Amino acid sequence: MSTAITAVTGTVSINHCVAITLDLGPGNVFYISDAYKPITVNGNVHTELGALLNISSSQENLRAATSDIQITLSGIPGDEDYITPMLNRPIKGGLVTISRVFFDPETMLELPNQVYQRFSGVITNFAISEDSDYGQGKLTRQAQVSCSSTLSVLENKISGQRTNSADREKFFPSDVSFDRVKELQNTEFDFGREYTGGNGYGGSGRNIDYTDIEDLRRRFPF
Amino acid sequence: MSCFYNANDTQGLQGVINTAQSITWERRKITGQTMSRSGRTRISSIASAVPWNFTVKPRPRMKYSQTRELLESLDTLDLSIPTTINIGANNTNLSYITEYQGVWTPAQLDQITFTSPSGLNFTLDVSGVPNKTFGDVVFRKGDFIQPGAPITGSYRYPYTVTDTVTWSSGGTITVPVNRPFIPDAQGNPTGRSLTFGSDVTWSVVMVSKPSYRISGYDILDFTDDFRFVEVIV
Repeated sequence: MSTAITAVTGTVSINHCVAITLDLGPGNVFYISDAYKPITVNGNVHTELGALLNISSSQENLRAATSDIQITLSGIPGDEDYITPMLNRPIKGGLVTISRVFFDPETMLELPNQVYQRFSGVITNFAISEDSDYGQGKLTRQAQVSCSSTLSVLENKISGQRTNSADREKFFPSDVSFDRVKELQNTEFDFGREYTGGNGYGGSGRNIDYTDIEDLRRRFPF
Repeated sequence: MSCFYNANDTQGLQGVINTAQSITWERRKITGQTMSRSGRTRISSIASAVPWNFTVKPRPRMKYSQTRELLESLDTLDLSIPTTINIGANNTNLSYITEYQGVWTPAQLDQITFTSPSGLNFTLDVSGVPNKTFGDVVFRKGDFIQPGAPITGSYRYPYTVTDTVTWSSGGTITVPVNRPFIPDAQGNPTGRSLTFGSDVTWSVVMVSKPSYRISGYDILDFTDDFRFVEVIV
């Protein structure tokens, strides 16, 4: 997920900001940053500076990690209103990219080509919290977006074919071999029993009832 | 100075500043540090706008009957309405805090115009400044500087000079400042005059408002300090 960061040799201090691309669907792509000024990352100007309240920590391991993060945004509309698209649009599945941009601590200007992606994932949930404390006269308005890494999404993906006619016909439209799976499901078979016709199932279609004297005589003649 | 609040002082937060028992401010950067077991230190900080935070201890035992206008204006502002403050322009007894330290006169300073920002440096046009001489100390470290006119100006953020600036020749000077230039929605201040010293202003909003206590006859106290923070939009 992350890329190698150029070694900052000869200095003890680094300066950086976070740039977030929040894609909530067509026409709702937000470019957010915690820098002191608008910054351009991958051709997009991150102008929204008053919305980002917090980003939870993200895990990075040697192995591919399925980390999730939460991005907390201000619920007070500034340049953008995040709550409206969250409530009115199916934002689950929206894309989230978090990058880190490095600055020169001496000049506070962006270092050229020092943009590193830190997280890529999709929105899996959102939460809007509105807390009012009338006694203290305090309000809290926050919108939180939960994001899963791309790897986590791939792990949750259903692979292969389920044993039903719908899935079978999805891959083989003319194949009818799974059409009766629904009827066969939970049917009990008396394997080894002599076939006597009847209901057409592979067995009697019922449990052996040894209290049935006619059946006993037929099975055990003496 | 009377021990009671002077009803002629400006109202709102400016009134609190003007009569403060103490003023504390901080401009902390958001910074993290590590120290290795071998004693090496590494520092990481976020490229933020470094807003000013003020903590003001109000004067105790004010006369309530002379403070009612102040209380009403504070309740009007509350935590929701930003306002503008200065330190020393309105109450000249405080001007020593923000006083200009250079050698140029107000008439000379009025001729300085803002040219361009570049991170932590401002380039100022001094070509129109009259009677300047080689070696003039234009700014000393700690001087307050703000592009645009005071209070009603089109640019809202003040800065402090981080190194002494002298004029030797040429039509421009480079002034290092404490924080990177913050773009203002009102527009680029290029070509506009600047404000210096005690005339600079801060746009602030209260983040902590104390309660009022009336005790005894006509005696008013605030129960805690005022805290307000610079509003950066």
